[in-house]
Amino acid sequence: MSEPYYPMLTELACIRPFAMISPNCMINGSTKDGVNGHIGTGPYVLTDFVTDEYAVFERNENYWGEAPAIRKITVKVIPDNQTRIMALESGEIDLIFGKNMIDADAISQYVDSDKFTVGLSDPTSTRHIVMNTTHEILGDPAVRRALQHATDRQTISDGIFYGLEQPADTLYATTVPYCNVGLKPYEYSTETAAQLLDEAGWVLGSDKMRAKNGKQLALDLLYNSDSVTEKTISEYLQSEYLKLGISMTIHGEEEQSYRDNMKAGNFDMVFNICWGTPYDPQSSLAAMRAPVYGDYAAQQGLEDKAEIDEAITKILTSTDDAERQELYKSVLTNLHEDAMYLPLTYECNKALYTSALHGVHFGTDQYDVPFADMYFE
Amino acid sequence: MKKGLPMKRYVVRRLLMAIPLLLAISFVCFCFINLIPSNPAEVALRVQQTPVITDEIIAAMEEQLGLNKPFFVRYFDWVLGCLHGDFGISYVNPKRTVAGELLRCLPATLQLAGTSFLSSWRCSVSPSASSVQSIRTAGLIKLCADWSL
Repeated sequence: MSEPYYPMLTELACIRPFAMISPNCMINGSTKDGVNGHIGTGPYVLTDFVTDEYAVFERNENYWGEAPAIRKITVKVIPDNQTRIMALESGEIDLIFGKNMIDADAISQYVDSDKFTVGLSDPTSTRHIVMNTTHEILGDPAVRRALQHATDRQTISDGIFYGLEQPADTLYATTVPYCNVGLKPYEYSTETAAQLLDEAGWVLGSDKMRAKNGKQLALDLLYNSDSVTEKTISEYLQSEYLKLGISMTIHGEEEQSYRDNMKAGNFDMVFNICWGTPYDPQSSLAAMRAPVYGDYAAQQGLEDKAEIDEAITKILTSTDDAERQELYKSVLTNLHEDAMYLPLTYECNKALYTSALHGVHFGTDQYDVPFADMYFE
Repeated sequence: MKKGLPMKRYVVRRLLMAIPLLLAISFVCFCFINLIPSNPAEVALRVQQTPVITDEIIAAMEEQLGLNKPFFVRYFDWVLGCLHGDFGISYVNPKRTVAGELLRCLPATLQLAGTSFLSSWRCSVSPSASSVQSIRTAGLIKLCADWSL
């Protein structure tokens, strides 16, 4: 490395997509052709597996730390949501763990159950909408702020996620490292939204729709058609914005096409989800500086784009924690005030397990399942 | 023997005719796959959840998958590979080969298809069984179907 890079240790500690491996496990000095063993230092050892069926982990008797209580763990591959729940109900499995393993509808039925326990982590990532600042209407910060005020996140959280995804006020939750910087949320207020639009020249016509110089306030929202949730949120926002005189068309495209359009900046507004822990905020902010996802294209209309990019680069190479915090504050404040990210809800990791199982909690990484701390009574 | 010859010739002719037909079908499929607007190298990287997909990584993946070669070269490479039993690798998980995945799923597929074949045979034969022989045959099929279930 030619320069310091502060997230280095965080990235080395990631368990996916790349992980550390003993050189003795490599085949011909690389992992390209597979590995000849799985050697680690963790509390469990992989003893058996059948691809796409199960993996068995047994207690590592040579573990350097405290020995885990559960001797043997079988991780089963059950692709279907409903089958997973049936397996839990029948006692075939004891725990379902993961961000998208159980839908909100199903998990809400177990909230008051004695037999099963529901666990929710701190926010792992933020579900949001990116507004394209190069768009001729959304290029005006007043319109973007109006949409921020016109969005009722609490209703989305309660109505669509049964409260399991909390309303999001900022692009990153305050629990994300360096992100508790005291940003003032855009309060839900249709009056403020209407006033901002009026002041920006988008006035209501006799048809109850807003227009400026004969041009209608019409926007398009792109979503991933593989996601039922995004479609539901889109339909809700469409009906809510219509009450304010904003005409919003919604259209879904299959995942790869959706992502192609996103990267190319072919959208007015588009759904997105932050990278999540442990990649937030450093890696997702770093990626905004290049055409990797939709952020780069969508930010081209920002007056302070160069300033934001410069600060992000400085953050990554800074070795002074206080300086990094200051720079993060500046970047996050600029992005928040630019109002191009419309945060909706915070995704979280979920666990549904038999109440006989104890010690279930969530790790620092969203893919980390702390089996070693679990025990049965 | 004399009676069997035309049939043998017919079967051989049909089998030989299947070769250009299979080639034509595979070529048409190959063309259609190439019409998909997304860059396959980029899609592979996305599916493998590569965090930052830069132009350099896309170019490296294109080379790895042979996508930087001309269209016809790619097609013939693929056909030659298939003839040698190499159907390529899974882009979702490059550690897995397509042939390996087919073999892994084959027993379950055969079990499912065999069972459904026997079940449908049993259903179609039983009602039409009018003679003792037919009833015996149907009984045997039923037994087989019951075992397979």
